Amino acid sequence: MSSGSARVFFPLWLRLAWKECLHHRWFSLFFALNLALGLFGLVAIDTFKQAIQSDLQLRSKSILTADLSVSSIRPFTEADQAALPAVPSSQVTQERNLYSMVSSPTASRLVDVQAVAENFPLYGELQLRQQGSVTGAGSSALLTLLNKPEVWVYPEVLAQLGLNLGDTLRIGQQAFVVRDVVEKDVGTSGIGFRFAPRVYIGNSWLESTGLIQPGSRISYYRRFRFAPQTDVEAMAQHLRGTLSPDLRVRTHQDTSQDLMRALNQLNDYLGLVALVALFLASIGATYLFRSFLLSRSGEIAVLLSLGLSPRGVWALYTAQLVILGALAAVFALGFSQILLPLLPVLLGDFVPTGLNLQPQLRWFVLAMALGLGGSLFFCWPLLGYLRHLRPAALFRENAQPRLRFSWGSAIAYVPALILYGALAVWQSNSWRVGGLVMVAFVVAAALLGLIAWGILKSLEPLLRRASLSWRMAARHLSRQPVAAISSFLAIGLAVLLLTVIPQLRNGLLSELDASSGASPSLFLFDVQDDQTEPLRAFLAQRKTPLQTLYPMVRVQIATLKGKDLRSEVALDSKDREGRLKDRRHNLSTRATLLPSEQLWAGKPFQGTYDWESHRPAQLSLSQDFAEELSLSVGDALTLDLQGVEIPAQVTNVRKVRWTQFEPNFRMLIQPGVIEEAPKTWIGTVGALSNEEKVKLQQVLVQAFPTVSIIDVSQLIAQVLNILGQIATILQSMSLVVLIAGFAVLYAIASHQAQTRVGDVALLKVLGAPFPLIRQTLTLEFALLSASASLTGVVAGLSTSWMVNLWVFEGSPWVWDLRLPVGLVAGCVVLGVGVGALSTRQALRAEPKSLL
Amino acid sequence: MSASSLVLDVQDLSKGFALGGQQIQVLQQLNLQLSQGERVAILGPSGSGKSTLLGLLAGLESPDSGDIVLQGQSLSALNQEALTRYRARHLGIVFQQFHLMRHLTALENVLLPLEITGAAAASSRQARAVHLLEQVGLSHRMHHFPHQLSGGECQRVAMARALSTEPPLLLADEPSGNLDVETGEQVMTLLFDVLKQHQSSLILVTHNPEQATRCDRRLSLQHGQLVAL
Repeated sequence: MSSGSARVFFPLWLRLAWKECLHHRWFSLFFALNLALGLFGLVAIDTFKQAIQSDLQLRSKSILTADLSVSSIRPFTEADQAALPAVPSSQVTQERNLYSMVSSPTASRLVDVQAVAENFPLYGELQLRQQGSVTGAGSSALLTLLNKPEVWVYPEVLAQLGLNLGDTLRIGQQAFVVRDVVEKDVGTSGIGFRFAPRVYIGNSWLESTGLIQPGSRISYYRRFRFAPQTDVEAMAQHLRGTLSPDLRVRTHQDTSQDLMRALNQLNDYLGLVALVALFLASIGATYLFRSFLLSRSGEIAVLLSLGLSPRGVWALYTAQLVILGALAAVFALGFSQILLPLLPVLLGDFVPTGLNLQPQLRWFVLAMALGLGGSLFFCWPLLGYLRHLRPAALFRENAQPRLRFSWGSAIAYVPALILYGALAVWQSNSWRVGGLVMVAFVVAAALLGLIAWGILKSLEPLLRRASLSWRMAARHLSRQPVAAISSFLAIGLAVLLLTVIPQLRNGLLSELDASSGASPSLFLFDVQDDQTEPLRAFLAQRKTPLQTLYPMVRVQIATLKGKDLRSEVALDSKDREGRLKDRRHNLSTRATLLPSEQLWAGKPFQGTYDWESHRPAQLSLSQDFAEELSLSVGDALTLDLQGVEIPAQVTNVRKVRWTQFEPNFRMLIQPGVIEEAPKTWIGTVGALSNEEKVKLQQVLVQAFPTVSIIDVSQLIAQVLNILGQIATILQSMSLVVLIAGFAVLYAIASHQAQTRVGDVALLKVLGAPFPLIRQTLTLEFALLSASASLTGVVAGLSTSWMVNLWVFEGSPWVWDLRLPVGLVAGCVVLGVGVGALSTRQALRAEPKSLL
Repeated sequence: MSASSLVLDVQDLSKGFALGGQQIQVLQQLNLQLSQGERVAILGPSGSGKSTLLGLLAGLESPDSGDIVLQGQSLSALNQEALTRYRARHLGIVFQQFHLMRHLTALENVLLPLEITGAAAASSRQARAVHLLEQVGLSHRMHHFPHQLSGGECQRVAMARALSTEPPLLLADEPSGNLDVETGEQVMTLLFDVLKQHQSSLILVTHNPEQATRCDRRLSLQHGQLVAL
């Protein structure tokens, strides 16, 4: 389109805005790049979240291996089976699942035993190393597995037990031949970590293992595949109303939603860190636009004097902000497309492989919304200053029209803060967390701002007797408070985040490390009633006595504060109560607290339960569980223990330090309630060397094949590995924040540099040698970076200390001097580098420019 | 002077400023009448109130008392928006420091007021802007940006811009003040030549008595009032 026809089609303000963008292309580019840095994190996280969600939705049937599954922790009765959906026999399969020890002649370990039957899997395919893929009915590999005592195992089982294909592996009393290795499993999401590797056996061989005992923790499944047009949700609702309440009905969509919920928590925290990057980028964008408007004051006055209305000027610069916001969104999308493939590498085992990270319209819309929002909400308030512009000053020789900014108009930034509040709530999926983060952030920013003001103001008197370059550097910092405090905030906040995250990780690691010494070496569970005494004697004889042994039953919550969860047929798994209805909880009993427990509210149990009294049994909840159920001392609930209803009342709430790895329970009931019920026991064995552990597991598996054993140090290692991965991801996002922080510094310094050209030229005219001028500028950036990063480090360490005190309840607070020293040193080097880069032109200012 | 040919009628115009707690009266009941095509030079030392008077005449500032009537329209009766529109259509301004839009070419700068007023069809606007640039001798510099032009050329573009809407009144604030003597002379000659072809009236604020002699009347701003020389 020619410029003439453009004049016909587009209004003047839009054409002027476009020309402003083009003519000031370095400003445009820098503004957009700066904002894009902040947008990148949020866009990337949302992109990633959506990719996982669509992957789970796409694979939801192969994750459940069915359209619908009904599960139970007891065998299905005839009545249950009569109420199950009627489908052709080829479209139903049954499975049983339990955790058990398996052993080879040299080693043993806990595995997830999956006993499968005909038609497995109804959806998806299982890939075997030798026999290829298994895809339900007609698979010869499956037929062999069902008919022979053979197993398919995960690769790590071979490695850990020292086995090869064709060797024998013992599960309970039955020996199985290792027939194949599972290369790619079905019925797994690829998200999260696996408690124990899986082995597959034929369903009919489970009885021969002898693992099916009263109280064994076996899950029974019936899985269904329906005709394509079947309304699975409606079917699920119907079954929930007709089946026995202790049966659990799950659709393939429920499964993917559950998995997504778990992953979303990590995404939520990542999102909150990314929000800080966006905030810093917005500060940078605001400063850049402010400087730009200042430089345009004269021309804006000319436009007004030529008759362009103030509304027209406002439309012009709004249009420019829209164009720049859109450009930032495009850059952010570009960054995320380049860098997103790295995220699965960082997340490792957490996410499924082969995610579709191709661009989608939603990402474009999100990036645009955030880009325009970030650009407009933060820069619009600056346009309010246009009304104070006095074009009449164009007639004055010594006074040019100039925008004046004041702190008094800070109120105009309230919409921007509301936008950030809304983003925080959106990212955290919680009004409470989002609100808290917002308040914490505003308080942190205000505190850092105050500290910055104090430090910068005191620099001048402090350095009064220093050399000229020091004094000039201090003077410039303290007399340009807006620029200096904005830079200080950007660096300080980024360093605070970079300090807090590894500090919290270190705190957790040291807590876990400390636990690993004091914690038991082995957990023994699924101990039957009649095994308790022989087990005690067996271990005592080997001088590795049982440390503790507690009974355990599984209960469902039948009523909660008077609400009958079982009658709420319509509750589905999307609701908290719906999830509660489906869940079984471990319940134990003991009269005293463990060392890792502390009474938080209420009073200890009083006496033994008297069934004749018909009074509610006393119940103790862990604090996290009480919060999850919104229960406090005095609240009533009814527990369903294998069909027997037990009215209970919360007597106390305990704080539990789960990291101590003691046999803690979220629910404890007073003595006298569950002793007579069919139950299993959970025990611990004290500190053992690695060699002793391996030997003891071997003999235990032989003597008590139904008892499952968890090696606590392996468990801690797994937790540490996960923590490490999460910390790495958060740390990477914090690095984006730091880069955004230095981009702000560069933005501010570059625009400051423009105003410094005259100063530098004047210094040269006055005879200041070049090294002095350069030294002054270097010192200025070094002072700013050092004071900001030091404040950030101190604030970060203090925050982690407080978190340690209040959240981890005084567990040892450790800090590694290398982190703060490294951060401060790195920031000073970066700051001086950024300063040199941004002021290189100002340094070249010619003295004759003043003449 | 007949009322019909009166372009500007300034009546009892007063304006003061508070400075350091003191009230400084810059203009005191100032009166000025200007007929169509008339050229008036206003002289006066720095600080005499010339810039204030120009700001008031341009409607960029408001008086404490008195009124400015431009082509029969009292400026004090107009709200800010109407005043902006009125200024765009009835006033042309030439600044001492040119004040061209740096990112617009010479042609685009001249087109700008025409586009703001939206007075004519796009094609005739373009033709008028080109014609004006030809008149000021810049047909070969139409697509150059201000930084690619000399000071004299910039001021010629500013003159073309000021005349683009054919305003009845042109306010010229020391148009040669930022130019060397020779260029300044050339620009002033051009300004008066171009004005001959337009029927615009002119208020020329200048320090230069020689340039003032080219005008029909010469006034001096003394103690807040205009005195004939």
